Amino acid sequence: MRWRGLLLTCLLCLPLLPLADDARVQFELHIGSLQREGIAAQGIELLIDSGTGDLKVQGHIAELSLPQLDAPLRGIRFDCPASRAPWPQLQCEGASASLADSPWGPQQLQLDLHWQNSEHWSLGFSGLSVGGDSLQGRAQLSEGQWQVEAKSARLRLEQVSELQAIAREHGLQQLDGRLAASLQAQGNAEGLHRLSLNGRLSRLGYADRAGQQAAEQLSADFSLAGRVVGQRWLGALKLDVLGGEAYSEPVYLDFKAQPVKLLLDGSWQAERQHLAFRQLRIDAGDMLQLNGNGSLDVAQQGMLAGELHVQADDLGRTYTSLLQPWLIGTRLDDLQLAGSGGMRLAWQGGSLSALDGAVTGLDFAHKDGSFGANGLRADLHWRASGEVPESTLGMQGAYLGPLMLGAARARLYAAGQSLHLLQPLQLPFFDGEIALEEFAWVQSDAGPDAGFSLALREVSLEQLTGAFGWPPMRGTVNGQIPRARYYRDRLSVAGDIRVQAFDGQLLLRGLALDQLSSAAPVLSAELELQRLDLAKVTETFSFGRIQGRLDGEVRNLQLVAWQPNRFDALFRSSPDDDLPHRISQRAVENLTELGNGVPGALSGSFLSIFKEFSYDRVELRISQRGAQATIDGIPHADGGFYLVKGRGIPRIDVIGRNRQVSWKDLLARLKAIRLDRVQLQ
Amino acid sequence: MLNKRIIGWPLLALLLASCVTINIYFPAAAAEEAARTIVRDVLGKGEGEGEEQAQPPATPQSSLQHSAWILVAQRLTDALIPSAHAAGQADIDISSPAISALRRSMAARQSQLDPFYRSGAIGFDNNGMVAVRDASAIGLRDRTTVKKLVADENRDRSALYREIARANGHPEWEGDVRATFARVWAQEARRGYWYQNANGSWQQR
Repeated sequence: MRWRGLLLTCLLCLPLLPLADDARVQFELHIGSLQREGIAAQGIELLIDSGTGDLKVQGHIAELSLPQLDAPLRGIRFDCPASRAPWPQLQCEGASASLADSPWGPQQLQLDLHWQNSEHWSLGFSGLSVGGDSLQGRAQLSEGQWQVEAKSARLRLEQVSELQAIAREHGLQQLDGRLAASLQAQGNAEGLHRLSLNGRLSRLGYADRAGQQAAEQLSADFSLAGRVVGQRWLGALKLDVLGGEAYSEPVYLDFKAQPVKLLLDGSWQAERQHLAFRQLRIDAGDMLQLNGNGSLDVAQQGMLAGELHVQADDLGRTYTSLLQPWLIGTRLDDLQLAGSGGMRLAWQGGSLSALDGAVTGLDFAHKDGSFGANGLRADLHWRASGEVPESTLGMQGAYLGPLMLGAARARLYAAGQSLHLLQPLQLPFFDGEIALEEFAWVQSDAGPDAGFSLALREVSLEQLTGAFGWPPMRGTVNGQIPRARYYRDRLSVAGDIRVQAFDGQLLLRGLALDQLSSAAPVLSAELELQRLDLAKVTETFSFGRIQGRLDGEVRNLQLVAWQPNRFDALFRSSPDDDLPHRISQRAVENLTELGNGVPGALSGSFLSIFKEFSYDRVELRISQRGAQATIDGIPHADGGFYLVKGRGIPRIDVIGRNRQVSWKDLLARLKAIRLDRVQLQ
Repeated sequence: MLNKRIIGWPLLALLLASCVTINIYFPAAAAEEAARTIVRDVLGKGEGEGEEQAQPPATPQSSLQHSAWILVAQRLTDALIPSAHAAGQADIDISSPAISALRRSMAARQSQLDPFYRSGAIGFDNNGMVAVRDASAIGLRDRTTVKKLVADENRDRSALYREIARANGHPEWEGDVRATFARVWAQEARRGYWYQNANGSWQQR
């Protein structure tokens, strides 16, 4: 466009010359300076020589300033050695032009000019040196319609100052690469109305200042074709990204590993920033296939209406490349995943109105082994309003830490901001089941608000303890959580979990988990032990045999980051105990070591010849506060405390003297206790 | 009887004046020492390793705030008792199992973060966290990885500051703990690391 303006300016005065066909005329024109509509020229010289037949035209402008250019053009020369058209027309094939200085440096052009009048002309050019490339092309005007064609073979983007200025305006601090392209543009006095651009970008690199948008060594084929219809541009964009890598916060894509093809066919309304697409297709292999149509508010970056179909045949790659970056900071940001899935999304009135998804054969696991599931299959449906088809979610199995869940299938209903179970869900769990009787999830302004109730039924304590690597305990676990709620990162549980074991029962109550999503969740709970048969307990743990019944409680239990932070525990002989009270030598030694940290208390003593002793009561209190712990028992007159208060003959008392102990030392004592088949961690 | 009343009121006033409220203010010096121990442990400087209990502060951080409603009696008490200031000191306990677990987690991550600290891609911000200060210094392929490392590190740091406050029985100290750590991270930064000063400007150690 700028060149067209320049040359038109040079040729403005030519038709004014009254030359006869049969006479040689030489005409020279010298103008010191000239100004018109923002165009300023100095040192204008024009030589016209009709010669022996062909018209020779030469021109020189010392300096020309155009409003479109920041810097003036200097040393402009034009030479048409022979025009074969009758005056006042010009037909200069083999013409040339040069510029001593221009924004693109010195230029030496070959021209092919056909001038009929100011409304009908064409100008071919080659040798236009821009961005390290030699451009060629043609511009023409006819009956009010103009057309421009240009070709570049290897344009260096980093050397095109106008392009660099645009890049800087858009926040890019770097833009480089090579462009081989072909451009065709048509228009009239009102402006551009048809455009076609196709070519190849290679070694494309760009980077913004914030490091959020960047690419290196990108190569891509592209074609863009469009035309104006009314107030809209209709057209299609095709882009095949063949290699290189790009980062667009927060997603990184390696196009060498996975080329991506894009096709967009639609219309664009610049005033409304409104993009309507009849077809959008993205092909990223088994990572992602996307098809759809709709309309988009580009200014608001939101879909107005339409439908998108997404298919991922390899969800593992989809997760790694496209999903995981968005999940950073959550517990889902480090998964191994396999399977396939698809989804349909629909928008109406500027908001998401429907979602239908299907997943098959999905296996996932957190890399730290904390949770996972396999054989997941889902048929999900959600609507913003109105009737919603039922959703189903099934699995072959799942685990949370050492807790294993069996196959199950849930029926769900999802609408608006909520999701709930349509019928109770039975999850097989260590020969028993977890019955999820109710579950509801509401997405509130403050985040998710979920509630559920569940029951534990006939869960095998033997399998449960085995899963934790503990000695297998006989019994069953039954419990009822009538109400639990997760809200503002806190899970609070009402109700008791009742464990039938060792002929007695354990009650877990007041369970709450705070700051679940943080690195240090806080678990609070209270535990009560009722009339456990100590013989069965000690037999299970091979602690050394103790007969009798045991009551106990753990109050103020608090685990932070799953580490004990505080608790007050009390274990003691049950009142009204109907069982004999006998304790073995080994149990005495273990309790002594626990209380005083001294192993082998009975060895060397004459009492070591007795294998069992009678006792009156046992009592152990442990309180922990961070790194410190306190051990206590039945008060003793001399200031110590009984852990075992003996009776009869031979009588043995286990008396502790030191109440204060570091938690670390107490753990070491527990680890040192000789338990068979148990590895204390 | 009257004499008893005359003698009794001042005594009662003195007695009431000795009913004082002990406010434990944030023990800045102890917290700084504790922070230094942890920061050196995480950064692997070796100094202070195994040191789990910070040294007591050089100056007492607690004082007595006398009840205002017996101001007159207080004045009298002050006159009669040379010093009514409590000598109570507060240490910072950093030995809870949760804090130890967080320290281990952060120390294990340090070797992965180190090259990005050194390249200037990330640095210690003035809020006690790690921030990406120059993403362009990170290879495109590594940007997501670094983002996750920074998120994980900041998750641990937030939990650490909260836990130190909680373990010392003062959850309300979390902000002070964080501010203390922010200073100490900057002071203990290794050579070549970047940190953000109080004004928000980045500086290289």
